[in-house]
Amino acid sequence: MTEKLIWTAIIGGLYLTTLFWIAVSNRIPDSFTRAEFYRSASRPVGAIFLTLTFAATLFSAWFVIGVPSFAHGNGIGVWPYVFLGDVLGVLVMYLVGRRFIELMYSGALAESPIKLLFADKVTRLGYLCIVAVLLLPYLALQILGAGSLVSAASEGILSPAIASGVVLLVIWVYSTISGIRGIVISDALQGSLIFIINVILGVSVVYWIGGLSGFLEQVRAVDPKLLDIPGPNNFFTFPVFLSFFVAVTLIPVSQPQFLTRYLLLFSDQTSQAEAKSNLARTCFGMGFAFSVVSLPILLTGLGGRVLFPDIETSDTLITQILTVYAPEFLFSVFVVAVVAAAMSTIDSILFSLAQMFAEEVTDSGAETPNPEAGSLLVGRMFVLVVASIAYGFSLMTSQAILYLGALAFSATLVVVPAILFGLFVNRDNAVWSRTLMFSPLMIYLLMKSSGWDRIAGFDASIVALLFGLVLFVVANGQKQAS
Amino acid sequence: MKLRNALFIGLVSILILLNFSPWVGGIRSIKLLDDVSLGLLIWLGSPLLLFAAVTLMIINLQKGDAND
Repeated sequence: MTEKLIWTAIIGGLYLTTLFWIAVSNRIPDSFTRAEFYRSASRPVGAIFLTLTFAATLFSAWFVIGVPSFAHGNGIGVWPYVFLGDVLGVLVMYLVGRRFIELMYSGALAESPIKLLFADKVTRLGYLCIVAVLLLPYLALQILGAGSLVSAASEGILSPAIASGVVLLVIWVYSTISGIRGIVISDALQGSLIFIINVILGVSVVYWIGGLSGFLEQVRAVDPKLLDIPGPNNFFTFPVFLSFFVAVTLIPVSQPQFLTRYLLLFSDQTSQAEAKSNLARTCFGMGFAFSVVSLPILLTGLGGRVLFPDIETSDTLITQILTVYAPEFLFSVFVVAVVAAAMSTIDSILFSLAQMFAEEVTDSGAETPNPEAGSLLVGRMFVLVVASIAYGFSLMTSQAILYLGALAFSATLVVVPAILFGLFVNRDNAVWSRTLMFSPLMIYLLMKSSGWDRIAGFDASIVALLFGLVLFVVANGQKQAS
Repeated sequence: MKLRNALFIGLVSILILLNFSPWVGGIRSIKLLDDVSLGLLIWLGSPLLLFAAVTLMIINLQKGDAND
């Protein structure tokens, strides 16, 4: 047994023990209703935990491995994608969260975010189907990443397929034991790990290449285009930049795992003003986290190019840096942090979809929420079914998943106009809700299926979003006129 | 209150435009030091300024809510 394997076993064991300790100490007694399972209604969640759960949801394994690799290959153009989009996304998150709070405190049914947004069931089911299908490959990507890393760390003892299965099983067990509260607290653990390891890695890379003085000269010496736009591979053209920027900025509107988290802002114990103040503190925390973590990520990517100027694919950058330069201990901490990042993204997506699905399936049409435990079972089973499908996807070739994952993630932009309409204009207008939910999707699918997937360099998802936003303005204007 | 909101939105827009500036050209070519161009500093620093602008905007909205 190598030293690396021993360290990974120790740190991984500590991580798993903490995870299950969190789950068990926050387990849901039988007497609790599904409201407790889904939104911690009777126990408010503080701003620190909210910050970490939102951040952990956003910091997927892609953020930890993909973004430095991206900077390694394409240079400084990655900066606005990582940071500018995220910071503006914080403002979007505040505006959306604030509106959610107003709706929830006005007495609207707050068992499911999409019930708050759309009175029309067809629109709600449409939203669920669209995001479930679009996020499956992305989910599979996270599962594949976590499984491959655990398999590599186990030095072949676990195959990637078995390791992925183990990761999913762990997620299912702890989320089933403790519901959303357990997920929020385990997110805090996962978010902190990701946060710390990114900073440590960025600082270490700078140290390994001889300090900050002369950092830019060394990068420039490798390839001056790394400090320029559109970068060495001419990747960051204006349309590509804008497509990334818009997709990242609108994550707090488009992603179901974010929508579900807005419900955590509501509590029986706090007033509306306190909830808004909690949201503001959470947004500051998010902005601060991005400010601290983004520069180390950029430094890791650019510094990695100095350390490894000629590796064949940038995807292996982090593994190479850690294998050659880092002590065994740091390698093991990094493996656990990346698996934690993937797990927090997987549990968030699975749980939010399950919650919304269970609400729709067990919806009796009554105005008050049904407190029976039946929907808990539906939700838990749904997690199992979706996780199994995503697991099946993850067994596909990694190139296919990478392509589908990236494609599907940006495609979730098509639901943004309908959500904005439900949130800010009129949740009761079924005609406009359906039009705004399905027509951008049609545009997107038409463009993709006809092979005409870009207009003036802009991705089909951006074109579909723009089309939806024009319809949104028309719908809004019609409401004002009436 | 409305004027302040407009000012914040204006500031946010300017910061975004500054980040677009490498495509627009001009600013990036101004040399501040031998090895670091002013454009690069703006490129790296403007998201921090954007964060400050976003923070001020949120505080402003919070104050507006409290007054309501």
